[in-house]
Amino acid sequence: MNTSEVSSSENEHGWRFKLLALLFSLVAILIIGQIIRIQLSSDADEFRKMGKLYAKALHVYYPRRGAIYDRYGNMLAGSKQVYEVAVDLNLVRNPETIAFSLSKVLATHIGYDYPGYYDYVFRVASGVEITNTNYVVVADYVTGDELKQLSDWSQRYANTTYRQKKNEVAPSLRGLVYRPRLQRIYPEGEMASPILGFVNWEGVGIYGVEEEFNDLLSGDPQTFWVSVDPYEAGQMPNVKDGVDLILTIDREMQADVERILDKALDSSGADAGTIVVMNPENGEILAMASTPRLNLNKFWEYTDILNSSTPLNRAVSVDYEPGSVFKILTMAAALDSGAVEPDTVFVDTGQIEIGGIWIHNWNYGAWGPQTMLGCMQHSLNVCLTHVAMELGTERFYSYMQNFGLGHPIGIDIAGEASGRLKLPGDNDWYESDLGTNSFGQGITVTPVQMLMAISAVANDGKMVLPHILQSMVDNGRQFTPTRSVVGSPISAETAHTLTKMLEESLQEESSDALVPGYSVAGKTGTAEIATPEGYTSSMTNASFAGWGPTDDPKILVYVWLEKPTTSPWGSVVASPVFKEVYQEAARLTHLPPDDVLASLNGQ
Amino acid sequence: MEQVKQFKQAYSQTPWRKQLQVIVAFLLVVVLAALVAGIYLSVTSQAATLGRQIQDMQIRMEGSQRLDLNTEEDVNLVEIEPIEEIRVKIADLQGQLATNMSDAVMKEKAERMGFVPSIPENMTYFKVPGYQGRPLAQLAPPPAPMTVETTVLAPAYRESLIEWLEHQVNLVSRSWMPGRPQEVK
Repeated sequence: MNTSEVSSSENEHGWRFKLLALLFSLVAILIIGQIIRIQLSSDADEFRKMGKLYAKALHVYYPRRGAIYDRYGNMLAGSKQVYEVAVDLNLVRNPETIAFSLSKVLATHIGYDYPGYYDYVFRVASGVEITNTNYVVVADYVTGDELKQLSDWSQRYANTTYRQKKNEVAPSLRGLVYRPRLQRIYPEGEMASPILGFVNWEGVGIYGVEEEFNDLLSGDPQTFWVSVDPYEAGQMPNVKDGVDLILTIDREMQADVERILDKALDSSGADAGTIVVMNPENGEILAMASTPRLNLNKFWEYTDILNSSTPLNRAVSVDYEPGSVFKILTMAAALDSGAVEPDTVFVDTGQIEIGGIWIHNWNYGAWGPQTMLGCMQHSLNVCLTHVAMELGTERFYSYMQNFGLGHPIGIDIAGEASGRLKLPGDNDWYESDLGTNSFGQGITVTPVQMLMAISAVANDGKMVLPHILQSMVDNGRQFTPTRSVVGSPISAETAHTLTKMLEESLQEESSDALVPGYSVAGKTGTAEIATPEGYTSSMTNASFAGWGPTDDPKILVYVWLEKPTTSPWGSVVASPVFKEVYQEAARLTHLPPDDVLASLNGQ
Repeated sequence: MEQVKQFKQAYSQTPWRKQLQVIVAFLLVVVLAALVAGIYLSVTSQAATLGRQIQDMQIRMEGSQRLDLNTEEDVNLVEIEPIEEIRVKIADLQGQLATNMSDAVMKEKAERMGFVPSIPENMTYFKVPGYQGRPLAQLAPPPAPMTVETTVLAPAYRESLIEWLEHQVNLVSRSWMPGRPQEVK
């Protein structure tokens, strides 16, 4: 082939190369043109938004809910690992298998044990159920065992060979996804349930400490965008766990007091009851029993146990007319103001008129000449009405307000009732109220209000706030708030005098409340319950408030039994309960009998 | 001499010499580009790998995991267990421990072992010197005391020139103003 032949061949095929180059160039120009067109088009912003939507995923980080402990560090509320099971619609192959497996494995799981659950999951997994996202939660609070079963089923499906027909999809749990989370647990079950409350399915504290300190316990959930671009992997937000709480209650005492309360309800036939044990020196509540109680690990059953008018904690949330136990406060006010002395004699004629109504004693009898000690010992309404009249309306209500009555005391348990103290000037206050209020009728209080008021008598005239929170642990540090006296409604001298009077009163009547070996002071209460037809003696509230040792009180107990049937009297049904509780409290707080204590102290 | 000059000129003007220069220059550029690309690839792949590991951890802790994948294999993908996952496990174990040591369980165990509840008649009290009673729960140390940091450095080591000048001016002005308190050294 000579040079002219080569040149002729190049000329012959050269146009083909040029044509190809032209075509490729055109395609390149078209692509570049399209890119520029899209960038400049009106839809560009929409495309950018879509891109961002797929570039990042929104995650919410939930901190661990703080645990709750008793005063000695026993856990009362903690957490356990459970799982949230969802369907990722992008991955689903066989919705039928997913629905079948879930409905079988969760056949006994609360919330998913209904017949239509299979249909629901099937609709979700097959995309029939309209959702905003491809990630749809189909089961929550799934236990580790249940998840293991699902995992086993998934493995079996994957390892089994199927002879498929045309257009038939092999069984598979592909598309079923899960993520771990924490669920509240209560190791003690129903113990202290009225104090603790519970956490509902939404993770919100309901009732008790769980509600009162919900913000502290739950921590602060944080929302964070996680990029799918590995170069943009950022640091996870530092989610601070919830605060741990240490309560003042003693687990063992709580269990014993609940046992005693249950026994008292059985023996007295009472509808419900409350017992609170408090240290009168600092207001620490050592035990607080109330009925009904709820197994907090099955909190969803609370609607079966509590109706709309039944609160979980009667000691805090129910106010009632306390009856004669209130005479402690009337006598404290009268002694402190100087209206009466312990040996002031009152001649009881069996009735007294105030504001146009006649007040009678509990037995409608006349008790003749009585000292103030006798008035308290025999719980004479007529005498206490006279004492209140001697004290005067203004001073009586001033003292009652100083005792913290008529408004919530601010206890750190949710759902506190305020009680009602009618005051002169109120539309529904009448002169006769001074008389009825003096012996605890026509006035409503909560047991914790009574505890706070009586703490002044048991604690040298200094009133302390009943509280349940001892300390909290936050950021690796334990904070213990200092508690201060919330008032001094009476003098130390009055407190000592009244304590001695009530100690003597119990001894002289050989009360069932007396505790062998220990000096205790206290007062019973029996209050008629108001009905639409008026007060009825057939239904009463039986109470007892007592404390000891009288020289240096360490234990203050309040007992309230509602509508006892074996006997309406507090002296019969509530006094023995006090005795039993006091004995247990003394044992658990290592408080020796008086003579032993004296010998140990070298007296 | 003239011959040497001619030889040099001939050498420098030889065609292969010029080609070699071009080729070396081109190769140098190529090698440099390859070097930069290699380093870039190495760094970016490491960054991507670490990024993926971080995302795996994040997804493992807060994201969802597929049930149809082998969980054990999944776990092995990430050698380091995220601290959040350990915390969840600790919380779970603490809950289990508390359940196993609940009041009812412990009482049952005590009864099984032959213990009986104490009653006042069987109790003996005695004083133990130094015993403060059953200690209350102390789950963490108390808050650290507030400390006010005081500097021990002389002003000369912490003052700027302007601050020093300002201070000196203040001192002089104070000394000229009667009735104003003087700085005591």
